[in-house]
Amino acid sequence: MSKNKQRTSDLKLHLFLLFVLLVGAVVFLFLPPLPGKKEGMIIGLSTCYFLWGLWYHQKKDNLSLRIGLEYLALAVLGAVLLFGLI
Amino acid sequence: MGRNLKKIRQLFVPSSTNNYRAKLLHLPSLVILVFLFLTIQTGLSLVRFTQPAVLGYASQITPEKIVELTNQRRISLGLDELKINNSLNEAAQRKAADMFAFNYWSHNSPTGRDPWSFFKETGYDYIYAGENLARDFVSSEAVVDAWMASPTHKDNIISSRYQEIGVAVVEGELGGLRTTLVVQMFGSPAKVFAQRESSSDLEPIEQAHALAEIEEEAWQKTENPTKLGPFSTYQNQPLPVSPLAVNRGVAIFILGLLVGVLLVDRLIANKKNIRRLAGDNWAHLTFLAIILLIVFLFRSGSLLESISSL
Repeated sequence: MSKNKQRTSDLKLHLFLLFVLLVGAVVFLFLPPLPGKKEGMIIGLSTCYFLWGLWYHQKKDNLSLRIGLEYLALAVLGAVLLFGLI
Repeated sequence: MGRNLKKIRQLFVPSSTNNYRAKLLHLPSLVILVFLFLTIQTGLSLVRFTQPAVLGYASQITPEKIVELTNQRRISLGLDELKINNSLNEAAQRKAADMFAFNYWSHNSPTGRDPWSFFKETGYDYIYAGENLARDFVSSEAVVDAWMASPTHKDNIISSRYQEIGVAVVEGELGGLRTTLVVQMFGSPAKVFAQRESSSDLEPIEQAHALAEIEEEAWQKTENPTKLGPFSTYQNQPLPVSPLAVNRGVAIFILGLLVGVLLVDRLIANKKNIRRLAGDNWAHLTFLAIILLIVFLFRSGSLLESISSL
């Protein structure tokens, strides 16, 4: 794959992540604060991010345990920070 | 001194000493940040139980504003305004007093009382009745907006079956946390006694009487807070420290730190053309920026699924 094509593909994948996370954030903020709903959204957002990380590096053919754990640690950190708010 | 500076530099700047990746972005550092936040959370929980009423949510909610906003929503949908009923106001205040006295966040008391027993206790005979609850909100607008965003609460607010309303806004301590409870009660007065008797949801009056004495005591302690307005219960005490503000401050610090380090790491890696086997910085930045956005925009408050006799 040429460098330009690679960049376009990367950009598309990043925009997809941005879109998914933005939609998740909007839903999270506008959901009524009923028990269980916000918690579910936090887990959903973090899981999406973690899975996107695995998918992205799988596509780039450089997925390793260390990279997977890095995404997992950040996803857990994000979830823990958001759980602290609700 | 120079050695310490070098160690600090390793935390933020990629170089040969940290495998060309800022040490703060290494897995052990991320795990430490998670545990740091969890430790702060545990500390807050300990404060909650050892120093009750230090943590809490101070609010500007008033019953009048809640009624006004509720009626505004109804009028905008072409419905009649709800009239304030003093018996419903009193029932709502007794319910709030009962929640603080028995320390519960539910429609039904641990003593077995349901919301309808408070209606009966104040002599309000109804055909239809409903209840909305909220806690930890800062403003009346936020409470009504949250109710309107929840289909079941909205059903109560815009139901054409209800004609009257009663609201109580009471401050107290629930689960070691100073908070403001908002109890909103709806009703349609019974015109014919037989109609009330036929309602299948009615609770035997005896059950309400069994706990009347304890509830009366709790009720006396609230000193009719609806008339006293916000902060009435704690007017001589300092405002509580909001757990949301503490968590938000710590979260912003951690997220800001990581965003900064990720940007510096990315810029230096680009400049020096460093190739590493690591996660994608732009993806991490996107995720952390979204979390930061949520932390900034999030407002406190909890609801319980609404309840009605319909």
